[in-house]
Amino acid sequence: MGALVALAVKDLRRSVRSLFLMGMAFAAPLAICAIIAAAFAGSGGEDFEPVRVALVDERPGDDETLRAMWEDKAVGAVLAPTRADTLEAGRALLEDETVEVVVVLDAPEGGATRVRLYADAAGAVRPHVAEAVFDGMLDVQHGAVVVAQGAPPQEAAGRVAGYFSWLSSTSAADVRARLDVQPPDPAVKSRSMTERMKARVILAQLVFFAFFGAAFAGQTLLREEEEGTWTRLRATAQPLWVLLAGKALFVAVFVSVQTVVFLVAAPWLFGIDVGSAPAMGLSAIGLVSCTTGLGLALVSLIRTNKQGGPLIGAAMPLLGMLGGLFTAGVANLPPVMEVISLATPTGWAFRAFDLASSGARLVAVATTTAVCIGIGIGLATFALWRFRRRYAPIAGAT
Amino acid sequence: MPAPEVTAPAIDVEGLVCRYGDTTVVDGVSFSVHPGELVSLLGPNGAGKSTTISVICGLLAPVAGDARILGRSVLSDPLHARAQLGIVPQDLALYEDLSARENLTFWGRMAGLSGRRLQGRVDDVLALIGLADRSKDKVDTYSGGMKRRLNIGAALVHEPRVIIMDEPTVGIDPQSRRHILDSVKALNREGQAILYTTHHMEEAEELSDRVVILDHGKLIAAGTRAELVAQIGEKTRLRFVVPEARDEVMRAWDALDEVDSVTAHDDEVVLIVDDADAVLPRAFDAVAATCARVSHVSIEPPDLEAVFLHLTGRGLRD
Repeated sequence: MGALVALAVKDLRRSVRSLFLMGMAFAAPLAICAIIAAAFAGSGGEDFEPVRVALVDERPGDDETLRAMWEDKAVGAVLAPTRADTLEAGRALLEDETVEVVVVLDAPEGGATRVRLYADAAGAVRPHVAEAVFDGMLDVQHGAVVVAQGAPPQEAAGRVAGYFSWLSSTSAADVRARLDVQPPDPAVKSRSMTERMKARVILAQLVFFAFFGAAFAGQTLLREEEEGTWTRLRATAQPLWVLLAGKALFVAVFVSVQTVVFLVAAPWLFGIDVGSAPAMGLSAIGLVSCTTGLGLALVSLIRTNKQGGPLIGAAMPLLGMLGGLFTAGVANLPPVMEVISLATPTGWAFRAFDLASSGARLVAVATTTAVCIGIGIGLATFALWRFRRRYAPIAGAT
Repeated sequence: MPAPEVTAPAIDVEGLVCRYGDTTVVDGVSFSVHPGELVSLLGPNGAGKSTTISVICGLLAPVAGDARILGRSVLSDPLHARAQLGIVPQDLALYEDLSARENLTFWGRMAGLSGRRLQGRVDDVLALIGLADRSKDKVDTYSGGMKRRLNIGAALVHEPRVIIMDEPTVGIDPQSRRHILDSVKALNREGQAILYTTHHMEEAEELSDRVVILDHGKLIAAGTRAELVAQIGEKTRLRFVVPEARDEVMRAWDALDEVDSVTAHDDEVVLIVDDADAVLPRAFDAVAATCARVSHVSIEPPDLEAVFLHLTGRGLRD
């Protein structure tokens, strides 16, 4: 036991003195997450800046229905409306970025009202907000038509008036309160979509770098081979399993330290909610199991550090991609991606963190962690089998 | 497993056969190193020395044969056998980003030491290898010779009863080489059995109680230096440099009864004799009787180089 711990302590000491390892395991992921957090800072939280929209009404006559809706204070929460006299004037406002969307109302050949939206093609979400609001307005107008449909002319006016009265009573209430989405467990704090997305993206990056850290840490075995110390270790009175277990212990401790640093840094530096301590603790155990197993398994497949660069450099991003670590911020992924992610250790490790940070029940996190531990044990067993074949020329020495 | 007898050889190699693929690199090698004895394993590169050492250290499985350390088989009882060993590998096997003290402490722990005993042994070894004043510096700041000394020190922390040194003086300066050879002799004087591999005949001659000579994986001779020299019946060489009247003096030397043969190359003349002390005065009398002039003379007693040459037909460094 003393030799096993001595091996792990020695490797930890050497790791702390390795600028490369410290940089790749701690500095790089924290720096990347800081950049991600900074990117989210502009669009995060509840402070949605209304979309700047210009309305151009080219219809003949003086129909005020849509214009009245347009200037309703409920709409002002999401749209900042202004008016332009002509389409050219509206486009000029769009061109100089005074507005983000131009809405043009016209009635070609004196027919029904037509609505056209002009927006910068590069605008991802915000023009669609204006589109959705106008959809709603047209729905209201269409509702009035439906209410009046089939009624004799003397009744139609009364029905439309009643409809608008009902609409008026509902708009007076706080619409947002009724649209607020609550988590299934009332004990869990509600968070905005943006906060949730930021937490997922950052946690995915931290999980990815934990896997990278484990693979780099596992390479210390190859480094020992190249330095000649592995042969010397094998010639000591320690059985091979102690040497391999010492290496595995080092990788596990290294990733544990890395995970603790990430979990302390995540809320403190990046302002993300990592979930309850028990859930996060379980996720960390799952992550350490998966990363240690995968790190050792990858190193068991190679013979030199030179081979390690291409293999680990290719395998980790691939597993990260398949495990969903790079698409954590993408909504509505195809179901097949979810299935693929659960075929990877990265996917399971991230799933545990995702569940913990989203406030899922502890039993769900524990189940995922159990799968992670199983994957870790499986991979570590494979690695130990490979190492024993490689290093044990004499059966009695193992 | 019952404890072996205390009188068992420190190292006992018996009928060792090792192959890499179809190539037999060690072919039926047997020899022993007794407690307190220093034995050199001598042979040119590729003779099978390092393979033999690898088997003794438990790193390589032989096709046939066995090696025992103080009676413990490296095949059937490898951990106990290796516990008695201190191994100095041919290449440096140190952690260069750790200090000398950290290195020695680590290797001591791997040998099962701990606490005060470990720290005491680390201090002793640092003093022995002359690195006490640099013990806290990282190894990558050391000279080649200092690293070699530390490489030896790492094998001594746990006070092994048997030490194996695989060409520990390769690639170092003469001063460090001298320090290492003196340390080896000191360790041997303290009673430790040492198996020392080298392809430097002078080191084997200076250090060894006995010499085992390997070539092409086979043991070709073993014994004390005197036994080996006697075994091949090699004689002393008298080497003269004769810049003038060489042929004349050669005829005079050839006529002497005590001289077995006279050969010449350029101005150098070599006499093969049984007794150099008896021949030298008569040889110089012969010079005085001719017009020849001798500018240099050297006496070369039979050595291991000559033994190897005699047995294999080539030099150790060929």
